[in-house]
Amino acid sequence: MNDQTTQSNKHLSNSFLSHYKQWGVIAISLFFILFLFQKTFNPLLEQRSEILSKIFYVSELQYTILKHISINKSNNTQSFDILNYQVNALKQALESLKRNSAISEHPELKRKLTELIHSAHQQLLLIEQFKTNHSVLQNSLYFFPSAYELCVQSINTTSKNNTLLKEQLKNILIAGLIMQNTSSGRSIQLKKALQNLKQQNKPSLSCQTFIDHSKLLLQYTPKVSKIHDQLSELKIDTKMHSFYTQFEKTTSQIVAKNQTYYLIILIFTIFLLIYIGITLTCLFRLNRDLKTTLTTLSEKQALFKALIQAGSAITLSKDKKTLYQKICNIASQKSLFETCWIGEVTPEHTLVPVAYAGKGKEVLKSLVIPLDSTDIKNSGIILESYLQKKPIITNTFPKRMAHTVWMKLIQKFDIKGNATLPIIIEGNVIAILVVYTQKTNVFTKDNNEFLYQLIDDISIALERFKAQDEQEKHQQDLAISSIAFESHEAMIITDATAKIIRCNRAFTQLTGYTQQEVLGQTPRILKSELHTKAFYESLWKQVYSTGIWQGEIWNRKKDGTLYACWQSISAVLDTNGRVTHYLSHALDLTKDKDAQCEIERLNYHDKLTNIPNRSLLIDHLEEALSKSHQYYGFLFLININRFKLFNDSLGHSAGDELLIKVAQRLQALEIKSIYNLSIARVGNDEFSVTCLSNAQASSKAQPLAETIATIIQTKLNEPFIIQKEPSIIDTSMGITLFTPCNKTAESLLQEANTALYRAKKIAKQTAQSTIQFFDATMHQKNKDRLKFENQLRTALANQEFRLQYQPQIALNTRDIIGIEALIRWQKSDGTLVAPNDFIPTLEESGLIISVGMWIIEEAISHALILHKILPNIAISINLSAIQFSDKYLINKVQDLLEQYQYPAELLEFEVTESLLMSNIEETIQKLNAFADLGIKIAIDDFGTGYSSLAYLKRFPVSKLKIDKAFIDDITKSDSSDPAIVQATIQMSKALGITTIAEGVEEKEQLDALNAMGCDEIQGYYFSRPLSPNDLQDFILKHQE
Amino acid sequence: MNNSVKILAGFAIFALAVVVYLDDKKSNSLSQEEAQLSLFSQPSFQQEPISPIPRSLSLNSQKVHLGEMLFHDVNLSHDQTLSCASCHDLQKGGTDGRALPVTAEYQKAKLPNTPVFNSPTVFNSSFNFVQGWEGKSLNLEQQAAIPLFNVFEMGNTTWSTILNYLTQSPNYHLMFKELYKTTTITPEQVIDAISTFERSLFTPDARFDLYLKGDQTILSAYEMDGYQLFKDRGCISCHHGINVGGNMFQKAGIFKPLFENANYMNNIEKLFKVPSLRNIALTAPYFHDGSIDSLEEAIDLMAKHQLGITLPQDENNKIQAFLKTLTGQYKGQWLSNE
Repeated sequence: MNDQTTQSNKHLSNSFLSHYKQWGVIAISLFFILFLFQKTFNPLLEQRSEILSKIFYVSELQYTILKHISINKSNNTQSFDILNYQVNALKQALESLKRNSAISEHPELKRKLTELIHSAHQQLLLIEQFKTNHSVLQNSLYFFPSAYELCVQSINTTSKNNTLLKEQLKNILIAGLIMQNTSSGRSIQLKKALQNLKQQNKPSLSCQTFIDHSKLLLQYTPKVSKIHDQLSELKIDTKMHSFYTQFEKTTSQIVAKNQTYYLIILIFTIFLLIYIGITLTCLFRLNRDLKTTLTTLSEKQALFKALIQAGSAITLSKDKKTLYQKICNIASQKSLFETCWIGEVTPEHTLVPVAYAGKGKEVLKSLVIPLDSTDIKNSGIILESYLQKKPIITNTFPKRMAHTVWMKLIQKFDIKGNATLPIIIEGNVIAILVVYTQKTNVFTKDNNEFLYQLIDDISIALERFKAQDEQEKHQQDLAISSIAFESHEAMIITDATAKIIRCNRAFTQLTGYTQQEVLGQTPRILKSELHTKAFYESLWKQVYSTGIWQGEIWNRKKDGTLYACWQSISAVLDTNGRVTHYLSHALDLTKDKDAQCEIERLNYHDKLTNIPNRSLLIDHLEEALSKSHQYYGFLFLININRFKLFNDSLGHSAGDELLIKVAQRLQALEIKSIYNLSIARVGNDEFSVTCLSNAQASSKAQPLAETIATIIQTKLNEPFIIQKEPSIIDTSMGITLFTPCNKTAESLLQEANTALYRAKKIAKQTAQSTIQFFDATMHQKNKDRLKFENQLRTALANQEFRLQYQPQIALNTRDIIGIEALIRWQKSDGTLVAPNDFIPTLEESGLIISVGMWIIEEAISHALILHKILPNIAISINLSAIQFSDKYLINKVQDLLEQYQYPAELLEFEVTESLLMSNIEETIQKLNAFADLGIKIAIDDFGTGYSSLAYLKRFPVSKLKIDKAFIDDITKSDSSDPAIVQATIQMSKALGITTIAEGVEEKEQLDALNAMGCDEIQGYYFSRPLSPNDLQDFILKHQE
Repeated sequence: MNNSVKILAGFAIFALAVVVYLDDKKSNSLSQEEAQLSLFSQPSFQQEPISPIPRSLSLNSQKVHLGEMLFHDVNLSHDQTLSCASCHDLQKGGTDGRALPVTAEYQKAKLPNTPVFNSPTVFNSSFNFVQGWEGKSLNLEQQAAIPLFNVFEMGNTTWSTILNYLTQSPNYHLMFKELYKTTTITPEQVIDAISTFERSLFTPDARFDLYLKGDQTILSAYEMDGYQLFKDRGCISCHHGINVGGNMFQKAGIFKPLFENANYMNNIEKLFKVPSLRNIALTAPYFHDGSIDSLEEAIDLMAKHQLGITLPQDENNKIQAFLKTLTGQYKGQWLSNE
């Protein structure tokens, strides 16, 4: 990689260097051309036209000036202004020529110019001389006629001499006037005339002037002519021409030199152009080569890409058709071929396209090519390829197909090349891949190899598909067999030696054996011993002879239970007729009975705890009672104490959880020396445990039962984790013992129930787990209680209850401050029932609620009467704990108070300590409600219960009633009671609570209490409970 | 490929532009030459040797204005005493009205052998073929610089003093800048401005010019006689052309020297430029030394020395009358020396 990079860098820098060389050559050539070109610049050439025009101008001026002078010389009228203009122009023109730097660069030319200027200068001087001298001459000529006139006038005309003189003068005049325009001969004439005149006498002044002027003419005429001749002799034309010639010569030299330069430039330019041309040609060629290379590369890349795509298509394709289509799509990509299709050889010997892509798809859709012809020449390449089983690739497709029916299609799609490649599997052509192209010479070695590769790949893929198909079929077969094997019939397969090699799930479910347990075993493990040896022998005999046996047979399960089934045993033979396997399948005939069992199970089981229910318990009990042995059986009924409270406080789901856990614990019981232990859920919170002991004597059975009961209770007393919180329950248990007899299950349950009832009753008092055995008397009591209860129910309606009142006396004043209402029941037959005998029953039956309200109403109405004689007397009424469970207690009391307009502060409820302690929060709430009404609360039987002083503070207690039990022994010095009473009284005082002692019967007791500081007393010492009438009497008597 | 085509096209357009430009230049230079040639076709008037002064010449009026300022500016002299106008007072016919310039005495004292000449008129000087009595200056440009650096005249020694003065003068500076589009004032510009102003000092519409232009009645018979005598007595042979003189050199005294003892000859042939007779009536005293005060005397002298005769008085008067018709107008006003 690095090597490549450096190499390419090197190549890059090389190309840069070579570029610099090329640019260098071009730059140097250009520089040289420019240099030569610069050489051709010559100011002389540039200004050639200007200089030439000046030369012509000067020449023209020369000519004009000379002409002008000639005219002036021979003409009278004159003005030098124009001549001056011309001379001035000539001067300027020459000056500018002189200043021309281009000319001064060429010495020869400059010399010629200097000569010219020099001559011109001389010429100008001569012109000035001409002007001056010509003017003088002109002056004389102007004046000459006038001078003649004056001279002639001054001469005397009479003398002959004078006439001659005149003639001579006239000759002079004529000679002078014409001299100007004639040749030099005329001047001789004038000279002669003057000489003639000289010989004469002295002339006059005027004539002298005339003679002077003629002399002047004679003097100046040759002078002017001479100047004129000199001007001509200057040969300024020659100088001019010489300069011009030199100029032309010089310029032509320069031009010639320049032509050489131009030639060199031309050569260089041509060289440069050739060089650039060659470079460009090289570049174009390189570019073309590069393009070709790139095209080839991209073609190869496309082929490579296509092959990769084909590879992935072959790998990914799940079936033949998808594969064909993908291959066609790949081959007909724009970089490859225009059209690609794959036809499958049908059983009818035709080729039908199954996948196609690219141009002309619509034609291929309906194409069917017969392959059963043998006329290769007319049928075209496909048949040829099919028959020869060889690929045919041609770049001259139309030529080869010219004679066939396909030619029109070929022309329509302008197909140039074709490749027909048969796909051969196991020597048969199963499909043909056909590729068309509209480009010429597409089928190169690379492309052909690609196509061969493609065909190979397809073949491989097709073989793979075939293998896959076969495997799939095999697997399907297997699946079908295994599904068939896994039917509801119990099946086993053994080898020839009757060893089990396979069994199905139905078998394991039926027999209870697992597959591992039976594999390698013989079916003999199932033998029930119910059939004779002959039975089996005839069975096998039939199998050997007919290959199959069918019939009903009894077998034994793993757990020993027998079952009947309809069994078939068949021998599996190999191709040689030897037994390789035996197959047995059995249809369980006990199936129907099992279904029945399940229904029963559902009927006899509790849904929540999934343990037997009451019905099943009764069944069990009946079964146990129906036995003929003399062993004792036990029936335990277990009730969860205060389950209702548990349910209410923690919720029903918690209650259900508790029940399930209790059931689980009972199920898990393992107790020695008993058997046939079974449990059941009898009621909501009642469970039963039944078991059989090995005790035959009652004396043995009873302790055993007690032990078992203790074990059970201990087990249940262990904490339960309910809703992730530990909970402890206590239970009540009723036990009854039985031996098989003529008792019914129902009666047994009744007995156990009675025992439980008693246990519950005890438990309510002790708040502990309780066990009670049933005995016969107990049963009778129970019967009595029911009867008594029924009597009580009617008692209230029959107005059999009476109220008696025991006065309460303040110790310090000995005044009657209150009365306690006490209920009495006088039956319709006249017998009086003690309160302790019927009040528990009232409470248990719940009658106490209605009776309690009757007591309050009755007491209030009595008190209202008493108030007429003793206005502030308070009435004290006992309230039972059951009454507190009445939701409407407060409202009822309030209603009564309002109804009777009774002052609440004169009403006092006495409640027991146990009530206070049982349901503290609710009790506090209710007691507070009473206190709010103004009703006072007294604690009855104080000292018998918890006597917790701390709790007292939380209740609105206004009075403590010290129980009679303490008062009885208050005078006895060896008792601890006086101290307790003393302490109670002192504590009460400290808390501001009034104390009342009940059951005071003796004077000593009164004194003792008085000494202790007790506030009030009640008891026989003052008065027994009195009827209302008697009470009135007592009050009146006491007041006295 | 596209780029090379663009480059070629661009080059072709450039080449075309160059060719067109060169062609234009060529035709321009031709027209310039034609203009030069046209100078020769100066129209000649009738067959008279004297031609009239044109009514107008094309001159840059700004240059004329600037030249006029410079012409009258004494600050161009080294001691701020003299200007061109000191010796060429336009109110005195373009001369100082003196025989010799004010500085002549001083110069004579300093350089006794150097001749001092009467100040020639500046009017119509542009029509003279050379400038000065001796014709030392070939044109007005050459002539304009001479007095500036003559120690006896404006007395400058270098151009820098003059140019400094002009540059520091905001007025001049601005005018030069506007006229010549350059930031620095050059001597050529100063000379050009002054000589252009001098070219504007021509006096057309002399009565004689009007006669030449065809007004046959403008001259009296007496004046016409004067003109005829001017021609017959040969005066015309030297005093002709547009400026009635000023177009050749001539010997002062053909028949006898004009001033015997005069120490004026600095050339062997004793030649002077023939002075112009335009406005001659206004430019007394006459001759190179200003020795002759009257025109009559001057004519008389000319007849005696150049013609060798004593001119009769009436002829003299007639010629005087003619010469007075040569007085022209400057800016529409008759020229006068009053």
